Amino acid sequence: MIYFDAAATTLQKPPQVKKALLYAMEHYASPGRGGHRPAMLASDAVYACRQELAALFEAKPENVVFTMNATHALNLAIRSVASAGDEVVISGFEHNAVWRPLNQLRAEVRVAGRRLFDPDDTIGGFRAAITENTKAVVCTHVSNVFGYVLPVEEIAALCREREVPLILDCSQSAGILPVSLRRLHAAFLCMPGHKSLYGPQGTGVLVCGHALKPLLAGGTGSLSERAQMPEFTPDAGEAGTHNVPGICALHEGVRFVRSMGLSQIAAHEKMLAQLLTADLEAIPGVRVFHGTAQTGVVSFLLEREDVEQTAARLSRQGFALRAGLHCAPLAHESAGTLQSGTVRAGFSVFNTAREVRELARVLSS
Amino acid sequence: MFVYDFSFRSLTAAQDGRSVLQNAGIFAVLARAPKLVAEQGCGYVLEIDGADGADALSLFLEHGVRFRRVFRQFDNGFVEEAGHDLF
Repeated sequence: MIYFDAAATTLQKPPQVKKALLYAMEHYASPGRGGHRPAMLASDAVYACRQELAALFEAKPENVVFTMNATHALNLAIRSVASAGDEVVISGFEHNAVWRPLNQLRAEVRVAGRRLFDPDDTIGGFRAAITENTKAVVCTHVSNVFGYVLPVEEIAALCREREVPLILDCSQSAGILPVSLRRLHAAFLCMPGHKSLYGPQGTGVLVCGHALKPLLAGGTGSLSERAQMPEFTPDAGEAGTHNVPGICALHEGVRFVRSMGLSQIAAHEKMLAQLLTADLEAIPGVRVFHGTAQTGVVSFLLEREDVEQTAARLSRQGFALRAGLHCAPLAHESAGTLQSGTVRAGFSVFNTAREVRELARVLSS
Repeated sequence: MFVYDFSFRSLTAAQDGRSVLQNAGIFAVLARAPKLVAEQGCGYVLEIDGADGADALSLFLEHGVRFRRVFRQFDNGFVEEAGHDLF
């Protein structure tokens, strides 16, 4: 099986990730839930992961909150800055992890920038959409469908200028592109641990530059006599027992990313995307979505075949690609592919040019 | 002989404090706060040798480490809150 669905989750992990997970299961108890050795060792291990993430995203360890996934992080972030009826501006490429919480909240959502691979349109869209009533901006760094890298530095600057909190969805950029809480002055950075940070499923991260409102209430191992949740991070966002094995494994994933270097990872994945794009464009009847501001995610479709049939056929031939709407109908609507969907290839550092060539060969035959 | 107990309301805040001290070469033991020291239930302390107390305090203030209170814990078990003699 050649795995090209890293945009959903990276399947191949560095071997130390699995080792850390197993080690934690055998040796670590619950951090902050006792003073005995297994609990204190767990506390140290969890804090080490906070430090690693804080270094990667230029934040303080105490502002790193562990979540179940990016969706959990986004829900926490959105609920911290917006309430029912509030005007919130989002990009035209948001995932349902943003779109649905805002609708559930009954926020007044304004969509900015619909043109794919057009940073000027995106910036202009945000400039026009943000008003004096805007309570928050939520923006994905990279489209999970098309790999389009949105101009987040400019959007962040706009948010600073208009004094609007920015929530950045780093689901497709964390571990690939540089993201700095300090430089962006973002309110929140939200991300999964199981994609390009190479941690296991069930891990997510929220990096806080803004006060956090709890989403869940429960035990935190702090201020236990109080009936209310602590208001300080990370405790405000971490009710209940931590996923210690997951966090320890994530720590190794982040260490792997930092040791390899973001620029090297991004260059490798972009090279694979460009290779696939060039090969697919040479095949008659294949439509490929590409642009200059793109990561290692490529969407395409065969004009005479349903995307689900293409993905199913590829699966039978030994390739794992995802087809459909990728939980991002807004992005498909922006690109004009809401009716058809697309087939998506998402690369990780473990993919090779030979694998990409093999996919192109199968598609052309 | 005594040690200083710097109290913290959260585990992570105490770990931040320990990290600052470690970087300056000061040894600190992170422990659950005794009931007498903990405010509003569970809390944490950094136990620091009496001779390092003033340096630890300076480092915490310099780095914005948010401790709550400071106590002296003597060998015989007696605990008192440190006052202006430390600050």
